[in-house]
Amino acid sequence: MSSLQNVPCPFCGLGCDDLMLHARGAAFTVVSGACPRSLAGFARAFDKPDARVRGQPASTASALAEAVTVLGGARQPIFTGLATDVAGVRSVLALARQCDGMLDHLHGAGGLQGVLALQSSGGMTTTLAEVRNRADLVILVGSSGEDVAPRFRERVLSHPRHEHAGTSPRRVFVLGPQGLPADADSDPAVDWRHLACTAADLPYAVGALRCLVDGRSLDPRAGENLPMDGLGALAARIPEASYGAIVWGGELIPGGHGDLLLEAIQTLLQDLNAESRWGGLAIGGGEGGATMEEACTWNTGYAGRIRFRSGEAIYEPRLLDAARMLERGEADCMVWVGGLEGDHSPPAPDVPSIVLAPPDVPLGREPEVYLPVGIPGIDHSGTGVRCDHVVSLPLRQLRKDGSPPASQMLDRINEGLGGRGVSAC
Amino acid sequence: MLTLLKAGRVYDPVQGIDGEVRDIWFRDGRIVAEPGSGTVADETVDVSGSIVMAGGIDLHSHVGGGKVNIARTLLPPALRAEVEERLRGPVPTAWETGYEYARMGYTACFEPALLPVNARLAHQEMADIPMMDKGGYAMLGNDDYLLGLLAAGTDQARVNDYVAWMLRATRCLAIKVVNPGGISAFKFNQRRMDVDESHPHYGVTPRQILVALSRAVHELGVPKPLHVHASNLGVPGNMNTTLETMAAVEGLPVHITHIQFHSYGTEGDRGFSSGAAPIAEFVNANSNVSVDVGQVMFGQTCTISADTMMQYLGHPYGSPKRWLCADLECEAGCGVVPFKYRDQSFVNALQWSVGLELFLGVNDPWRIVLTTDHPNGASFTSYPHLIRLLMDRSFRNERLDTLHPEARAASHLASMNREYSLYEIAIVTRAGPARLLGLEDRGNLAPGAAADIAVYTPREDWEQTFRDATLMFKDGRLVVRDGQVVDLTWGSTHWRQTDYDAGIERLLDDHFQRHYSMNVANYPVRDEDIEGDGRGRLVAHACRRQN
Repeated sequence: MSSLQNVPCPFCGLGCDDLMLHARGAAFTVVSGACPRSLAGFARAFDKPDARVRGQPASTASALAEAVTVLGGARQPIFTGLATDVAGVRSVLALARQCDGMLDHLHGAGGLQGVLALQSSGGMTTTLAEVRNRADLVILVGSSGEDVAPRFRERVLSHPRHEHAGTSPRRVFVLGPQGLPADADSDPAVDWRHLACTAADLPYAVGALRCLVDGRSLDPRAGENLPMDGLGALAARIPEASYGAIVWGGELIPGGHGDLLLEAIQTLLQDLNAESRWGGLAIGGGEGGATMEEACTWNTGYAGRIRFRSGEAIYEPRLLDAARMLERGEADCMVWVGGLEGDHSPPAPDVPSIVLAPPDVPLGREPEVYLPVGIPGIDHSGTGVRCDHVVSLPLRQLRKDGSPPASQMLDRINEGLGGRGVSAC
Repeated sequence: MLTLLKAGRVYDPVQGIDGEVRDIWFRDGRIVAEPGSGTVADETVDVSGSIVMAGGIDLHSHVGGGKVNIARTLLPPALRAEVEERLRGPVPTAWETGYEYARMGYTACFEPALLPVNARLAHQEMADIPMMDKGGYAMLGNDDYLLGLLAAGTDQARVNDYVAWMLRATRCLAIKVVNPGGISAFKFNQRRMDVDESHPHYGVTPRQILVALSRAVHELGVPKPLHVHASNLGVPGNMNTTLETMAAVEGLPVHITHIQFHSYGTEGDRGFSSGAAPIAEFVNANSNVSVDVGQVMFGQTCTISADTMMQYLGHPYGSPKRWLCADLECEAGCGVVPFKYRDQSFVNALQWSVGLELFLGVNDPWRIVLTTDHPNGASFTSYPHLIRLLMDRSFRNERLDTLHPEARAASHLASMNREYSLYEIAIVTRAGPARLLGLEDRGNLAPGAAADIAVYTPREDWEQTFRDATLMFKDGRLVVRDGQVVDLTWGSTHWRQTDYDAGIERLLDDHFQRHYSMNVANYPVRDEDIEGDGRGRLVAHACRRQN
């Protein structure tokens, strides 16, 4: 049995690269460094499927030709999913520019919450290795860590700090509805504490913490639903920390303004740094979210949620919501660009749609055009960006004869529309 | 195809050609010697009356890496439209970067602060800069591994192995150090650090770091001298730190970057004065030292630096009020602070003067390079204006007369009569940086050199002349005509290759296991990461090893 060492995993924002895999036919078993997501992801294997046009098997060439016709007839196409690698982002930007398209990653506004907060206040940030080596106090907001990035505890929280940062157990406060790990009480590496509140109360809890840190008085009624004792204990620990981190996961307030909560966290971090050292870290960014933000920003100046008009990118972070626009008929064509969509599946809109996804992604309705594409890091090589936006992974091709990269299909559609295949954004 | 650029006024300092009327021939992307009589060019372009130079080279411009994206995020195009008419802002996209450099007749730009662990992504970002050749300088000297080696008193040979391994892993052309040890010290909550101050944990001083890295660069035979962003950036009185930094390397080659930001005294009622004269004097007396200026221009920009310590200190002066500092992977950091330089601010006006005083005070143009530390002092698109300030004394003095009156009084600029010649401009924008980088086939027009050629038509002033290249050839291909991009091409990524004792990989593997969040096996940039999308190619340059 052949085994592969140090394999980078493309499936969440944590970007683990210490996996050992055993090949099992076209699939892979993760024998070391596993988590539920990598076990499921690397186990995916499929016969090489046909492209389809309106449900009928078609050659790649004729499906591409049909995609050109469908997209060429659209006036307001929206590109979503966008769960791909750097090459895929380059290609989808070029295509969207060519056909005056709109773009919204599958994580939508929740994915952009960090960007929106930065555009309001800026912040102080840190990265996985800094937290692992330095942080003696970690505050997890709206996440237990593991719910977003399964190996966050193993790879960061439980890992010994650098020798300069002491050997006492790391203090970790989890603020939100998420419970602690089942074995939290017997964890020798981490001193866990849960500050329970609902997701909707997170902004109030952070506000209360801010008051406690600043020594300001707080109306007792404001704290009625909040874990005030725990917040008080946390506030007392903050000045003792030699390096602190505030960590959050994916969309902080479902359907709400996670960016405003993040702005409160970022300004707290900025102010805490007047006295001691603190940094914020998002551990979301999966499904190609961080990759999309990085490559889209250097190409267009914006991290996402843009529309192209005459080659210019227009940024509409609040308005440009793929799900809502498709529901309301504000887009007349949908292009789903996948590969790394994981458990997410394309919307099933009433408008003509083109779906580029691996063969096992469930489809709510048969699209006008279906083009099978590979999974970056399994079927083809590429680059994926980690949640901290600093480190990127050299994704590998682990098997041959898989479906092609999404970028290749997008470039061919673009050529069919008369585009140059490059994006002069 | 054989092309003849006929009868231009050629400025090629490498060959000592100073405005002589010459023909330039090129074929397949390379300059060739004039063929024998009777040879007819496939294409002849009459450039008589025009100025012909090699393509411009910017050896210090922040064009790639996560910090540039943070700056774009803090000042997105829609929020920076006011900044400049032509460009959408001080922090252009990768595409705009290539287009705007090309229009000015530039053909190469180098990212001077490449975080090693970010190398793959930084190269992919730079791969999306069309037209330009590019490369990066790997940042060391705040990374826990090197600080640990120095703290343990490890011998220089191992430091050299580590530096050589890093050059290869990051596909970089040179080594940079930023606030030696200071970025790391800031993570330990130390807020300032001077040349002989000890790191709070490792105990090493910036001086030790400077010596170890400059020796490594020298002994490995990396032509580009160690690129140094000195301690105490922006602090009144930092000229003394800078003088100590230049002396610390004990005569080895060293390049002090954006030295304008490091040339301040403490004289006068406001405790802030120009230190340009003593700094220039030191540079003039020490041939191992080269500098680039980091000229300040007035207007909105965004400061981008790995120097978290000093960026955090400076954030209260930022505008607009949104800024970010980050600690990065136990290697370094970054700080991004939007900033507006105002000509009616005493400090900003004096910074402007200090930069120009340095340009005019350093005598040897081969050892001073024209930069604005884009976008920290100003956008690179202000280079034509800067060239006019250097070449036109009356224009310079008129501009000086409009600035904050006390700053004007505190500056010696009005008494400096020097005007740069076209020959000197060709040195500080092309020939000099190419020589410092060790790129022998760039920055000149000798047979065998790359056909990176800029043609300018003399206009009413030097700013107009250098604003738009009349013609620009990249590797022999015409990509700009009359300031407009007419074709798209991709440049090369230059890097410096040298060997090392393979034992370093075993040591690094152990260090990565204990302290990194990735495996050493996945750290190095793969060729396909840069070349995979068909945008440009890698060019490896050999080192001239000294031992």
